[in-house]
Amino acid sequence: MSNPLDNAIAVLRTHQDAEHGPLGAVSPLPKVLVTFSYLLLAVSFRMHDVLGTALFAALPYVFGAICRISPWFLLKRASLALPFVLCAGLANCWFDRVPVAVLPHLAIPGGVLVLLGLVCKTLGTVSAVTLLAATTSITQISAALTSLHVPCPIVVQLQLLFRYLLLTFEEMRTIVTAYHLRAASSRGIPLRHWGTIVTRAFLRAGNRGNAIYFAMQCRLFDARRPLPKPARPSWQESLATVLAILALVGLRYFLP
Amino acid sequence: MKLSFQNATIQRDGLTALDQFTAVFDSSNGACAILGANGAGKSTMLAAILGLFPIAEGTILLDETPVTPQNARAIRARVGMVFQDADAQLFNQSVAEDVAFGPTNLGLPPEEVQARTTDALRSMRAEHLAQRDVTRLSCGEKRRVSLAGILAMRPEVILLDEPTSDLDPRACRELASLLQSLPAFQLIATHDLAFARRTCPQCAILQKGKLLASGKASELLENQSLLEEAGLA
Ligand SMILES: Nc1ncnc2c1ncn2[C@@H]1O[C@H](COP(=O)(O)OP(=O)(O)O)[C@@H](O)[C@H]1O
Ligand SMILES: [Mg+2]
Repeated sequence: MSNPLDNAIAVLRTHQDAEHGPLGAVSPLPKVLVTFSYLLLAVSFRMHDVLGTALFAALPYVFGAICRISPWFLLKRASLALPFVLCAGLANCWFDRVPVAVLPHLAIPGGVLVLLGLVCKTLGTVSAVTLLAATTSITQISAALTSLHVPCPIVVQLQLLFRYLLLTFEEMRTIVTAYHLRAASSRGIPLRHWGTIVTRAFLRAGNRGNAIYFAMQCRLFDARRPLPKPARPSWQESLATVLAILALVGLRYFLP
Repeated sequence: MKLSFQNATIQRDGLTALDQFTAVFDSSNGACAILGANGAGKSTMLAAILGLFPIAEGTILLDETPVTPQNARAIRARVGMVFQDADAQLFNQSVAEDVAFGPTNLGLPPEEVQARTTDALRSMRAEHLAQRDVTRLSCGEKRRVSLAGILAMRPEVILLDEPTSDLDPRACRELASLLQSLPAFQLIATHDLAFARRTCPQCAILQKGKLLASGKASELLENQSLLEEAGLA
């Protein structure tokens, strides 16, 4: 898990690589609904409310641990997004140095608070999405989106994009590996070669994408026809969904 | 069940891949091997049956139904194709999802889809792979799983494009015996003569987009000068 290409492939393969645990057997719609609610509530915390944000961000890890999804696995995935957040947040630290009182005797510069808040929000939201992705395949998520009346072309686009990205990254990795095998002495790939590599990867992925689309059509895939809806959640699942969303709302507004 | 090509011509990127091709494949004679050197037009011929390429001239008929864009759906429900590149065919995440893809597109109810998926995987001796990731199977497993994905649609005809190209000898033998146990009429494009002998009572030999010879495999496959002419020996 060292280079960005491997990371990207690992993210797209979250479902295949993760333990599915008991959540794997739950129908997709409740999971999608609870995850969306969590995301909305998690980003709704005010900029300076670090404590609440942090506690809320811990929820996916706790819930994951209960359902046998390792918190480390979630943390590892979530931390892949951190570099981007750190860049933005650190810059802000420099601009916003006005102290803000956190506890009676503790004041922290506003920029640092915002940075901490951003980090917590990132670790929380990305791990929540990872938890969903780990226990629900893209086919199931698509089915859940269909039953939420997301228009079919959008869902199909999502599915195809997902496959296309995975293919592109894998093609790119093959090309990079082949490059290294023939250039054993040089350590990195010179910048001037990257243009060719990326173009080649997209072309090859395009060819394979076409072949895949051919094969899909042969099995009667038709992007214009509505996707099949998933089996309806059982009443226990529906009840658990409502309770989980209420609990999230409760935690959001009654946490310190 | 009869598949007939009548003077069918197909162009691919300006090259003539099938050239006034005429042949009849009759299911009552048993499976038919489609033999020919690289570039002879085997893959094009199979894909043309499913309407994947526009037919420049002539016609292709499945019984009485001509292959046209309007009939594509009806034909694809009756004819399944196992592509040479298994990675192009398997694209869902898990094996079970991939096998269920075809029956789901047929509009079958979920229980029926489930039953067919289990059935198809069992007949390909691949039940134990159901929850595996499709990109992490051996070539032999990929081949059996992609075949299961087609079987689950219960087609009358199965087209296989170079099914043995990436299999080791044992996997070839296993595939041959699995294919022989299937009720569907099979057209198998290959240049693996041993595999053709094992699986097909009939054979057709293609050369440069035309039919060079067709008939009983036991006769044609012993004809050294014919095989040499076709670039197969
Ligand atoms: N992807 C392609 N694009 C354009 N032409 C192709 C493509 N694939 C094959 N052809 C041409 O079509 C002809 C028949 O090829 P094909 O049906 O793949 O032969 P075979 O399967 O017997 O090896 C060849 O002359 C080849 O050059
Ligand atoms: Mg071919």
